[in-house]
Amino acid sequence: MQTALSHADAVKAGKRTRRLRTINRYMFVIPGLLLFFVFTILPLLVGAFYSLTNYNMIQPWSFVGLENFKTLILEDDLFLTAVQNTLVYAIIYGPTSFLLAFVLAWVINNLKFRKAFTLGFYTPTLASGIALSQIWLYFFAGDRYGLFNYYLLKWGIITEPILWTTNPDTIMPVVIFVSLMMSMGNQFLVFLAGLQNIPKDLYEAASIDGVKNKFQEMAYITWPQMKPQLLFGAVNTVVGSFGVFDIAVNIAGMPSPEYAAHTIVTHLYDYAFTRFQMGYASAISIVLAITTILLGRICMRVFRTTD
Amino acid sequence: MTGASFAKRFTALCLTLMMLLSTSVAVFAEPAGAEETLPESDATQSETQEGQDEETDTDTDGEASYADVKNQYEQNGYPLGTEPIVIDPTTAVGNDGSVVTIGNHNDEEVFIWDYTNPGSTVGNQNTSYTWTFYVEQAGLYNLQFVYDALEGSYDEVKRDILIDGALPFEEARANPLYRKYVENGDVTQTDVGEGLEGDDIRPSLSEVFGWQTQLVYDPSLREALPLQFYLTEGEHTLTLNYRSQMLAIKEISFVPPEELMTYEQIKQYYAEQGYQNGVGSVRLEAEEITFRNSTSVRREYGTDPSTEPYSFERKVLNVMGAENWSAGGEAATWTVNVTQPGLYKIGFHVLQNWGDGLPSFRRLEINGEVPFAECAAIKFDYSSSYENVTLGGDDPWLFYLEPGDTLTLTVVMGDTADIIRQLEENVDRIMDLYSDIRIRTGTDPDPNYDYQLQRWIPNLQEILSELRTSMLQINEQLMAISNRRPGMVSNFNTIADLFEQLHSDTFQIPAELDQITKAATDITTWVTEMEAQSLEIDTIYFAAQNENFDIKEASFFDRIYKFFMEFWLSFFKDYNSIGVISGTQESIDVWISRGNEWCEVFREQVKRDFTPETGIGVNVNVLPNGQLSANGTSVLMLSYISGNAPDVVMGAAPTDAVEFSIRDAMTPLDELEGFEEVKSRFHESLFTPVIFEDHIYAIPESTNFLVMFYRTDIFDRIGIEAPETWDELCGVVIPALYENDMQFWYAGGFDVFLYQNGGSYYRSDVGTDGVEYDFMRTGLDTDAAYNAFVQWTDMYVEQGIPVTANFFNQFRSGDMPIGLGTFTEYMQFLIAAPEMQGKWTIAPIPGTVRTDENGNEYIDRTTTGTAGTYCFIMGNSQKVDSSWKMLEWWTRTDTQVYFGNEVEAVVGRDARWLPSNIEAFERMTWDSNHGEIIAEAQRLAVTTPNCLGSYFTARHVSNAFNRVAVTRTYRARDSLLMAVKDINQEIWNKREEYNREVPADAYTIS
Repeated sequence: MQTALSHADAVKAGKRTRRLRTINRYMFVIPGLLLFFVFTILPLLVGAFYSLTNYNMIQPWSFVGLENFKTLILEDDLFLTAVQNTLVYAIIYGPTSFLLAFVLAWVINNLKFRKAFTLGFYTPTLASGIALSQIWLYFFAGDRYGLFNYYLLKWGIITEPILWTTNPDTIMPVVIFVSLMMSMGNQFLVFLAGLQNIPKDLYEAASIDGVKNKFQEMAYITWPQMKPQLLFGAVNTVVGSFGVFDIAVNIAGMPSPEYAAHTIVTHLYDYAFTRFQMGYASAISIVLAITTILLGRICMRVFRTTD
Repeated sequence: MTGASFAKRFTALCLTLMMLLSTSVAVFAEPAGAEETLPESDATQSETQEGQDEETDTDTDGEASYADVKNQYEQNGYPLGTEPIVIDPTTAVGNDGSVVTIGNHNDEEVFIWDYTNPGSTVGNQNTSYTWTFYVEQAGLYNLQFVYDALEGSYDEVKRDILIDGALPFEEARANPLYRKYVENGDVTQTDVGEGLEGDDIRPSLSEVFGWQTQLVYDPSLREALPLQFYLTEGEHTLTLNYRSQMLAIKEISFVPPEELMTYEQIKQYYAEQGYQNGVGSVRLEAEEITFRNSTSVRREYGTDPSTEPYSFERKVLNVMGAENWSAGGEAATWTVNVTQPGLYKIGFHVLQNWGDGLPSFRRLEINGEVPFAECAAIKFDYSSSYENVTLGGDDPWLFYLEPGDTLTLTVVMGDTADIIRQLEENVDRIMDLYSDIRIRTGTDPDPNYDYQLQRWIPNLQEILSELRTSMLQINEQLMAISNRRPGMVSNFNTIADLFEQLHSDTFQIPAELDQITKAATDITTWVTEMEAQSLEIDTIYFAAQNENFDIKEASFFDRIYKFFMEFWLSFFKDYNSIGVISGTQESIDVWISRGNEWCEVFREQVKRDFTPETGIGVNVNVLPNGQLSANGTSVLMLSYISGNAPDVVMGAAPTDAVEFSIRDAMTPLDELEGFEEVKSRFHESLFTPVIFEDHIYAIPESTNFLVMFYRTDIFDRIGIEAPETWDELCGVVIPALYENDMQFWYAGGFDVFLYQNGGSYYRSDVGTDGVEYDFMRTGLDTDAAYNAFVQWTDMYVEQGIPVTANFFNQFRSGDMPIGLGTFTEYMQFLIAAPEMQGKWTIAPIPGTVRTDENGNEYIDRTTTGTAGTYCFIMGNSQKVDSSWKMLEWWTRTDTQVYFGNEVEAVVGRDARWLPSNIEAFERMTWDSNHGEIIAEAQRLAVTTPNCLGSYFTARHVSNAFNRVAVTRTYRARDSLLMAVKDINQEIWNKREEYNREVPADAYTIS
């Protein structure tokens, strides 16, 4: 009777296994979801709640409604400076870093000692940002012994040392430059992986179909094939550039001279940990979160794989 | 195919593009100050300074070094003296009629040099005494004292030794007579609770008094043997100049130097004496030091598994020395534990992984005498791990030892002495060369102009090539004594290359001027490093000639095991807590933001005095720097929120007071019992930053000061004096500096000018309820503040002083011979720049000329008390009374004096503790008149208050300053008004947030 299992049984068994399989799948996802909930969703919700209160960390909070958002958008001049700085940073840093990393990945992918170059470009990103900014601070030191000043003076390009990190005019360019140099490694590693994943036969097929040079290869094969990595890279840079903080503070100090490197996150930090207006700081963080989510959506739209 | 070559070409193109991209960002940063005026023609300037050239060379160092004097002795073939010349100290004659005190000391009538003794008639610190003596036979003599250092600080007794009224050589200056210290009791363990044994605790040291005999040595011990003085036949005088500390002298004598035998000779001597071989083999744990002559020579925590005894669970004091036993002259003495008299070989289990490949040297003495010539400087080679070293190597030296003999090891410079001397000579030559060149070119020369240096300095090329050869020779010497190539060798090679390059093309010199001074600075840094002769000893072995040493070695597996166990235990060990002291009463938690060693001293002091006195137990925790601040996510803030805050916090910044107290996180101290008494221990102004709404929240512990530093040698040379007022500084001193291509350094911020002009940061105003409140608005909108702001920014705009600079380095090189600085700079100049000794001093900061109500002009010399550290009680403490007892005890004069002395002894001279307590400060010893100037600076100091929203003030003042002095985009008035608006806004916002009154006109005007 072993072979004559009834149809109903089989169906039942099938259903059970399917249900088990579904449960299994959820079981696998749960640890990740749990962590995501505890460390991302929950703080966001708590932040959203506190953004409606007046809270100084030690004394009990009081509910103020949308007051914080009102002040933030209508009255806070400094927030506008912060938004402006962040946008300047994002507009220059975002695309430049994206393109630089892409070009770099492409170039290195075509080179002979690919692994060595990859290692060379990636290693710096392993060091902590704070440690690296210290090195950059030596490059941009404001006295005549700073590396850049030293050579600029030596070659007669300038006559007195530039106060790179004190002068508001030069702070932002320095911050952008240093961020570019420091972030390149991470991004380009993703792009490099993307480049190496493109099947070789595609190129062969293309060359038979009449693709003549690397630019055409780029336009018709590499770029479309790389869309997932490009999407990841774009979202990463956009979110990253809106979250600029460490480098800005390490280079320009907190607060920076004349708020020249005052970004949204430094503004947030200023309110949270200098003034202890946690409610207001939460409001800033909520605005920041919404902005980045929106920008993330836009990036998704632009780089969406059509298939 | 062409594909490959195309790819290559394209790669190159891409790389170029990338370069362009990255440079375009740099172009962004086009210099804002580019339109500044060009420096004046240096060529004309240099013509005027020609006359000063010669003077520079003549007023240098004065005394000859002992090495030179000794060479002369040898050239002249002076004989050694034969008979000792004994001087009776009681025959002293004091200078300026000071009376000689002869008193009873150790039951003998002797000469006592003690000006602190109330009954004493000995004058002040400028005292000197002279003795006259007769020399029968011309020759070389050692000088020997029989003395007893009187109770004082841990400083050595120091005197200048003058023969016939002059220093015979530089080494006779500030010559030390050492003190003698022993441990009080045994090693104890920290109490970690639950009956477990914690880390080892060092017993404290105490001084042993009683007559000591000591020969006079070179203070830095470059010369390992006693200094020799040449005395001709006839009458001579010996003069001692006071430098530091008091003593009683029983006998002074010039004794004939002992001629040391070589080891070969002493072997024969052993045979003649019929010495027998020793018996057995014994170990002596080196940490069991019988006595030492410096408090820094002590037990240390050895972390190598081969050290004995060893434990990975707790820190054990199982070795001695290490980097705390590295300064010339520091000695440790052990009692030899052999059982039978006889000949023994000596071995050491040592670690010498300091000095980057260079060896360390020690002088060995048995019963206070160097047994044979080789022991004058024994070399301990560099090695990355613990080594067993046998004296004499493969053919071990034998020493005649009897039970109870003493063995002394003293830090000496050995073979490095000669190298150090050459390096110092080179530094002098480089700096001479630099000043010669600078007179022609100025500090900021035009690299494209031919200054024709060779015409002005005829032997220029000769000097350069000599310097190069000398550096290369030094490298050879270094390599010869080192076990591996020291880092300094590469640096010296670079320096040699630099001189080679400059030698071949002197036209380049102006462009490389910075490199020349950098070379001198580098060499000085290496010299300081070379002078530190660290050595860690775990065990000393004695064994008869034919016996083996009793050695215990850690195997490879021991090491692996230890590594994993330490890693494993790191999950359980509380590294912050440095000890629990249990008392009979309740226990309080104390968090301290200071180095571990400071906290250990504190803990020992609590255990010694506080807990026995009050019965209160204390749990001491160390926090890293910045973790007590009210800004940012500090541990203290977080612990307060989570309810785990300590009772007492020490080492915090005063700015925290407002931030914590507005949130009820601090306990007001002014209503506690005995507060007024505690308050009277300090300058009133120190409480300004910790007052919030009529309550005082913290007590000052350490303090700081702002004074003016200047190089006396340079000021004498260019004929200017330290300025009394800012007008004098700007009118006389700065122009004179510019004439000599030098600069002034200002680090006083806005405070100094604001307070000297009678301004203040905050004003009171009437609130909407008609009552007047303090701190209602900023005081920067007053005339006084405006004048101060103009005065401040003009220093940069009109006088052109630099915004950033490395004051320490440039003060040393002489490019910035005057500037304002704090205690930090003071200690740096004192400790880290030995070559400047005697060439700089301090003065009160310049003042502002003001007119009082009667129309009389006076100089306002108000200075700022740049913040020190404070201690306070947290707001949620349930043990306020006990905590207050702790603060009261901690800020007492005796506690502070003891703590300061201990820290200086344990951590080193550079860790000097500057107490806020006025009496404790007065008990400190300072060089010349520095103590008075610093005391005056503290008395005149005004401290900036903190209030709601006050963190905005510093920020906007600095922005206002930047707009005027750095970017030069605004005029002073506009810039200051912008700051006023922002600061007021924040003050009012904060006041509203905390339901305080705001002025009636808030937000409407400004």
